[in-house]
Amino acid sequence: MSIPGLGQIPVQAAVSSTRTISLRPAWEWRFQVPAGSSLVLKVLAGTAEKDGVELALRNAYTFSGVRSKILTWHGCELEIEGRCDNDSVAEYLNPIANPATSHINLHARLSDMRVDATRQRREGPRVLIAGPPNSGKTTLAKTLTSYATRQGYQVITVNANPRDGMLSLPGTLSASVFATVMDPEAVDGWGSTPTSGPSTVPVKLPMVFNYGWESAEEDEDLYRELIGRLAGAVSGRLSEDEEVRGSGVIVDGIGVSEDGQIGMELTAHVVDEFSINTVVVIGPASLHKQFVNRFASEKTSLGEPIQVISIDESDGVVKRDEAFSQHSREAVIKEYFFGDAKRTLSPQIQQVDFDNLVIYKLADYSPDEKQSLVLEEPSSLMQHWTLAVMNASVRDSPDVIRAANVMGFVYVADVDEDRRKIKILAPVSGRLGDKPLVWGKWPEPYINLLG
Amino acid sequence: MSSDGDEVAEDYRLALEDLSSNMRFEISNLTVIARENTEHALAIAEVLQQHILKAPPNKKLPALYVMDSIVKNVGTPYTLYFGRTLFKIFMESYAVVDHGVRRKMEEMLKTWKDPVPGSMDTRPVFSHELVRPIENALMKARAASMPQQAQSAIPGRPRSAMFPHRNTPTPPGMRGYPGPAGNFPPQPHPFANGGHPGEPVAGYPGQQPAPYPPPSTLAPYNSTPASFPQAAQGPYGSGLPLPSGISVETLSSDIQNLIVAMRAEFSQNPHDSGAQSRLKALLDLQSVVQHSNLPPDQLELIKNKVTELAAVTIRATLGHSSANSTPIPAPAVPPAMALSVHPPSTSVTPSPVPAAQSAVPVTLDSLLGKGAMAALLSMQSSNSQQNTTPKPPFAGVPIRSPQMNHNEPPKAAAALAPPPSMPAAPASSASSLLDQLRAAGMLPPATPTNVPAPNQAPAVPVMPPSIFPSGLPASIASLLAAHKPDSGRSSADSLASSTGLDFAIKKQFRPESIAALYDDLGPPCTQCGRRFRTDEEGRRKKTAHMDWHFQVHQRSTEAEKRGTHRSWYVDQQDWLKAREAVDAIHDVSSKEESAQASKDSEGPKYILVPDPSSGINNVCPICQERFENKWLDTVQEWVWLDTILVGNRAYHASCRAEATRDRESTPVQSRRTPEPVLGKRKAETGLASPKIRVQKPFM
Repeated sequence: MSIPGLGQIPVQAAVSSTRTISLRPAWEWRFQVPAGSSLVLKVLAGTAEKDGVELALRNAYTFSGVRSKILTWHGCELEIEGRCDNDSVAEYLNPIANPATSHINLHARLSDMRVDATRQRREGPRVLIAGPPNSGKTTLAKTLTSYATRQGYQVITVNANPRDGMLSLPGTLSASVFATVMDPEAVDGWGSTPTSGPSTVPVKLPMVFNYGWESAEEDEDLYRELIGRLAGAVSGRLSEDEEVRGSGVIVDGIGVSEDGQIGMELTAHVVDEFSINTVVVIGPASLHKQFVNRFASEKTSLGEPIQVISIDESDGVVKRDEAFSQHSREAVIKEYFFGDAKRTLSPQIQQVDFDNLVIYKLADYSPDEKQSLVLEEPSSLMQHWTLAVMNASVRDSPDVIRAANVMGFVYVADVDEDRRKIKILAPVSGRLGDKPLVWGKWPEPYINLLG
Repeated sequence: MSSDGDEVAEDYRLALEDLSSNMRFEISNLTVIARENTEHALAIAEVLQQHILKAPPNKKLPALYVMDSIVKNVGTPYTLYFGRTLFKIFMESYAVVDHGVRRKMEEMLKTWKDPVPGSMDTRPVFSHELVRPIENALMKARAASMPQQAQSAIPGRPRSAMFPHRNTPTPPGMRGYPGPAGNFPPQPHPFANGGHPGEPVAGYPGQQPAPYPPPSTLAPYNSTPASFPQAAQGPYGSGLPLPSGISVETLSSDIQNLIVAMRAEFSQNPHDSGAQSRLKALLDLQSVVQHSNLPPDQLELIKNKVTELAAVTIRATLGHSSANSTPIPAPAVPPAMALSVHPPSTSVTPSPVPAAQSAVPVTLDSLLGKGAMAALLSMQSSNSQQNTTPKPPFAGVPIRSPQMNHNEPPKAAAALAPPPSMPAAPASSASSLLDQLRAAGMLPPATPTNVPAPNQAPAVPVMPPSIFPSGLPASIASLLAAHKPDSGRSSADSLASSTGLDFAIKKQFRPESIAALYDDLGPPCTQCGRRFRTDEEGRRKKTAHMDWHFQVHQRSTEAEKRGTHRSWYVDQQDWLKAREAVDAIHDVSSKEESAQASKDSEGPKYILVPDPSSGINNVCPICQERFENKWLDTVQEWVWLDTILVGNRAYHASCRAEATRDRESTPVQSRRTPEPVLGKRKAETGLASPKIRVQKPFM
């Protein structure tokens, strides 16, 4: 629609396209809402969940730019308003035919382990979800996390896949304790992080490391180092926080190719670092076998055997095309600075002299180059990139800086090389001069946030 | 009043930021300020434009109404300034607001094509060249999206048909009278739709039960040009007929018209003391207007009153209604409005009618008595109110309206509660307050046993075990297989059991696993779907949870005003130390407030509610918020919390502290006492210039 002045308003929202959909138990309603338009969904009767998050009856949930599904275990009636590109009802003869049943069973199993662990004050199950790219790993991680929080567990969920962020921007590795209800409307599907104001859905508190590349293979050393840091923090939390200990860890792993060639070694590193005792493999039997062969003989650092569980890929998984992924990454960045429909955030624009900033750039990976961070003068190439603000001192060595926690991100709105001024958008006002910034390679700049 | 344009603009900006609703007096206040600062019109117009463009969707409408009010009541030069960017302002706002607001905007747009009602000037508010592109764009959008609605907005309706529409552009109770148009004589008076005095503003319960300041307290304000308490009484639209300044001639002719009408009424009802007193007031007024040289702002006030009277009189004459036998003719609230208005409001609000100026101010006790009445009434009127409060219909509103609505219940409930609960436990804590509210039926019960009933009903029949015939027989063996590794996991040989495990996970359906996530957890929270058991602990958790929802709703408006921003992420040390607090608020301000509260508890700053005759202002001069009457258990008195008395003027202690500290230019962050565990917020507090409530221009 190009009506002057109307910009990108979802005009079709005005079309009264309200309709209701009835689902029988274990059926799913799959839908795709393009970015820029929105769909309002209400559960009129029965129960329904999205990625394991139960939807409250008669509450309006707004979805935009998502491809997802609504699953019901008791049958439900949904009221849908708005346009979606593509939607369908997945009917199953019986619940067993729906792979979601295996998610429930898997959760029930983990739940038993949590009960045992809590009683014995030991660590609960450490689960890694592995599988080919676009096989529904993150969706399963969300579902299992949400199931756990619904039962009152406080599970630590870890994102080990830098392609997309969890509670943070893409390019990061993060971990967070999930104790409260998850936000089914969140742009990244996980939730939102603390702001200076209240939030209608409880915020989650992530710990974030900056990896800065799209895939784990691009800088294996950095990836291994950061996974080590992350695992160290997670095990620290497990030992200190009793509530968390018995609930265990869920790790959303990196993509592993179907023949197990790519990603297997780094996955093994994750298994090792997090003392994973349950590996959930989504996808073909051959991949499952690869994992069984790889881990059957191994034991965790606690001496437990490693179980490999196979889960079928849901036939509802849609291959995300690049444009869609790009759009969701964009939405995550936008949400970080400006908030979402429920909560508007006001980031600060600042003009900073080049000399007042310390910016490091991730060096292109080369095996013989030890230094992975190099100092970089601001340049117009940085425009529209997001830079990570590291929780370190500018006097720290690059090695310390690259393994430091991320405090947040700034967005480079404009670089004036002549006047040596850089215009940046920061979530919080304040000088950034004493914190080093890191310019990564991921997420790539797509949008002009201030345009 | 500052002569510096920047300062005026800055103050105006702050005032706009505080504008979160279509409050009549706020809008007319802002209009008055704009009128008085025409030398800075460009700056003000610029600020207002920026505000409209940047405001979150749910705040756009009030800001647009301010613009509407300014161009209609002040006119040039504002019309010129706004005209330049009118298309952008309108369309960008239109694009982001929801449907209800769009309709209001369309209605407002319609009024721009006509001359200002009652004005001598026959030119439209905005020239057709400015309005037409907007209409065209809207029509195009509509044609593209909703052909069925296109006809409803065909421009150029006959003027007479427009008449009722004139009432609608402002929100209900604002300018117009949302009752049937037949209530008004179609012809005679330009003020006929000028709004009713104190017409209850729907959804503003917090405003209504409070009496308008007794005349004595007005005294300090009369020196200020805006005279805001009176402005508060004046309906927002009442200034309409005066495009630029108020002419004595029109005013006195209006008064003359009124006098004629009033005489007629009086002759019909010679025993009506109300009519008599009004007539006398009018005659007085006429002589004052004609024989003294009044400054424009006072003229404005008089005009407001004339308008109020006009509305009452015309109606009265038209209906020959005997309702006028009461000295204060309460505007009959049309049924549609009565629904959305809190019961007590109709009985209290008519006081601002001029005749009522002599009436005894409503006392505190009678007021609270009414609040208590409200609680009872709303209890009886089932849960209509409670249902609407937590989730208002518009997506844009939820942040705002709950707070508004919640403002009222606590007060009302507090009035109800003290006698029974005081001996038992202090009623001051939020949770016990909630309990009281629940007891009064004003909040959803802690265990909404009635709620899940409808959704479980359909659930039962659709889940008979027979649906899973294949799963059940097989499951016995696999159940065992599945449970074995569970119980004796440490010794399990993973390979051997993995086939059984796979089977257990993939090929089995255990309804109890689903029940463990649904029914076993108890009924869900109606707002977020989280489930709570019905046992003792579950109830406790649910109470805490509902308190949490309540607090979040309450804080949201405040937070929005302040402007929120993303916090920095925590570092590893803090993350390790952090503990998930379920149903606690991750919010700097809450911590601040609690810190503040704990400080206050050392020596609470409060004053006993002063006698209305004492002449102490009951609105904080700094933030313009009314002092709230609170029952303080420890002293067994009604008090104004966080209030100090300086001379004979009451201030919010915190407001005054900020204002004076600002003057002394001590660092502000000292107030932001303990840094929470969460977040490296040092950087932000160090630099952020927390928005200090700057005294508003009408001070």
